[in-house]
Amino acid sequence: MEYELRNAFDKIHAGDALKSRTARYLHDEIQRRRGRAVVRPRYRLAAVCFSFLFFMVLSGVSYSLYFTPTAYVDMDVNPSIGLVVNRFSRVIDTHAFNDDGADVLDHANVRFKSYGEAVQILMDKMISNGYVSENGLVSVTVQANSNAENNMLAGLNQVVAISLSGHHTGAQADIFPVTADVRSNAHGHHVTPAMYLAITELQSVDPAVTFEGCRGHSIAEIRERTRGHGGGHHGNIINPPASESQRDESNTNGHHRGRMRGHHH
Amino acid sequence: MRNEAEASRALELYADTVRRICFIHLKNHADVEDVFQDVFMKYILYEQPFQSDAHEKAWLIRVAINASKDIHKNFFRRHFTSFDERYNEPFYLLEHESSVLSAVLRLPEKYRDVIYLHYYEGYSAVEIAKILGKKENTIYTWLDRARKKLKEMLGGELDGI
Repeated sequence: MEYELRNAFDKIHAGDALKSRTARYLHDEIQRRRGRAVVRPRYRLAAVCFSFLFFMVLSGVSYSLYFTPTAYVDMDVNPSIGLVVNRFSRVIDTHAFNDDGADVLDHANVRFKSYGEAVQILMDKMISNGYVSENGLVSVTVQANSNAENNMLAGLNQVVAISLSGHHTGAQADIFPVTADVRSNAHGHHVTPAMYLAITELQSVDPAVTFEGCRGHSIAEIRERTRGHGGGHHGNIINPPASESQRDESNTNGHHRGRMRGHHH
Repeated sequence: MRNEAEASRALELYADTVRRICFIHLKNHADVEDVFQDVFMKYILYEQPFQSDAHEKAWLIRVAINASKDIHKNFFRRHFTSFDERYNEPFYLLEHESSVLSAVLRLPEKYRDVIYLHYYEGYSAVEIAKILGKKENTIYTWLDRARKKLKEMLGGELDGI
């Protein structure tokens, strides 16, 4: 019986066709896996490095684009606040020029908001905290390239007007563009451009006046002193000194310089 | 990974052994071809050295038995029974050889393995226990029961087992 069993199993064998197909299959698999083992890891590493590099460059470029200042909006009520705006109209940095400004910023998170929304939030905060008196003055300056500047001025005129009228205050708003030099000089003296222009105008009629001496006074008070010396302009709203405002002549003549009473808008 | 020369050598030496294991477990050509190729594919991917040819053969037998059992776990194969094509193979068996083989194929799978490994390949119960990963006593029991079942099926023809 064992003999028959052996004979029977002896006759069972792998056919040539099966062996041949298997040999071809193994050959293909060996080639395929060898190719992958030798070449693929190298390409994979290169792809990973390239992706990482691309991601880093993209991140760097995006970060640089997003955090590069393209415009500056400065507000002076008495709280004096500066907003740094990027190309996407978002506020990327804020700074206070006085304690009141710091107090307002402490209670209003405006970073990464649009500059319009940021100004609206700050206006509402300053009005509700009583910083804007009935006959007060809200000075807002914008420094940007000419195209953006026009749009920003138009937008800010609306935002400030809506805020003032919404709170039924009789305060006036003075919104105008400034040059990069004015903004830079103002920030150098740690005041807003509007305050800087008011003080330099006062200095033109009273050379003894210093920036330190004017600190703590409102723009309206400084302009009042200028008028007391026979300088300045009629009304509450004054123009920047000639040297600074020459560039803006066309703008001021063209009423880029905003002038409004809140409740009238 | 082993090279093509090693693959060809293994195929030449062990193709028939693997085919026999496929025969006692699988009913149709497609399954046989799948398992057959799978076993040699596993061989070229197995990078550990073998201590001897006997070790290499035992390894292939174990892989072939496991691969054959695995194929039965497939949902489709479990639920759709295929025709038994084994009897259509051109193996040219004599009548008494065919009846013995037919009796072996009617045994439960585990008994088929021990009968084949013991009576054809000549492994002892101890060696079969190692190949199948079972206890020696289990192999003795399976061999004993397989013999009895074959005796029942073949009657007086079982002389010599």
